Amino acid sequence: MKTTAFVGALIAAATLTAGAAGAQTGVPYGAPITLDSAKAVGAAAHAEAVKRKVSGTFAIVDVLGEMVVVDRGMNASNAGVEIALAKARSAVKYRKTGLPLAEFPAGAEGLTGGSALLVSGGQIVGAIGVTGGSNDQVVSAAVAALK
Amino acid sequence: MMKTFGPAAMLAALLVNPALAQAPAAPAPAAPPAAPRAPPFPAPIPYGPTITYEQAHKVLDAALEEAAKRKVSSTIAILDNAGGIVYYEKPSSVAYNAKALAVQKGFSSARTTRASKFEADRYPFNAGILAIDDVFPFAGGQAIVAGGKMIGAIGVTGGDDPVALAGVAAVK
Repeated sequence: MKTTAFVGALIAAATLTAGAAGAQTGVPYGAPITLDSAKAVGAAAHAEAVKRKVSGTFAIVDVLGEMVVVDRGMNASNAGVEIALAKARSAVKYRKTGLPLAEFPAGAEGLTGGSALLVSGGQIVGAIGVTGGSNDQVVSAAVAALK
Repeated sequence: MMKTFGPAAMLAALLVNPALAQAPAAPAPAAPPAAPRAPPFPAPIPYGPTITYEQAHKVLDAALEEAAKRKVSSTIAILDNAGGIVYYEKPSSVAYNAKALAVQKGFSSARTTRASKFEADRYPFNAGILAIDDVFPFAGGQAIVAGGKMIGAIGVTGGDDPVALAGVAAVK
């Protein structure tokens, strides 16, 4: 009985946390990111990947999940672009990052991290997905480049 | 009735026999001149190693330079030999369907090792080319060749072949 109550409390707590996180990410969608902005973000991602000696494949999508810039990194795996795109698309569609969503290609489930919403002027303009190593650091550098 | 000859009889014959009313049989027409034969297929370019990051960016920079020179908004897809995306970019001013056009043109070149427009030139006015798998017969797709081997393909929409060829010329 006690155990049941404890588990119930845990679930309630988890739900509350998830609810709070959901509220935080409910940023409104804006106009699609421009190619110039996307290339600036991509250049920052590439520079960080070079610094960390990782392949740094990235995909930048607009508010509707359409590709704006995609770049297979140096010595990158053939699957990288598909995974980076899936990360970026799921981030922008669900306004959440790091979730192993059903849209991920086969074999890529559980690949969390490596994505971020691109927010400008308080509105979502797109998202970036990164794969190939040091994903979160590459993403942070990329997001910082968005003006 | 006596057989009659002369113009009146001929006229009567013409009136009753429609076959004779036609123009007198001309000598058998000469066979029409043979249609010019399409040039032979060029041998496919052998597939080599996949385009590297540096090569892809050389192609991209040259293509973008040509696009700027021509003042066109080019959507550019650089693909590996299997049609996987190595690089892609779409200008903000371009509609979403540019993605399908650029990628399909590049894919067509990757699969055939030829210009995407090759089939359209070879079989003019033949809609049958649309039935050929993997072929997207519009200008803008070109094979990227280095050292005599195919390393990838580029597809361009907005600027098409001149932009694609400028990119291809950047690697040897």
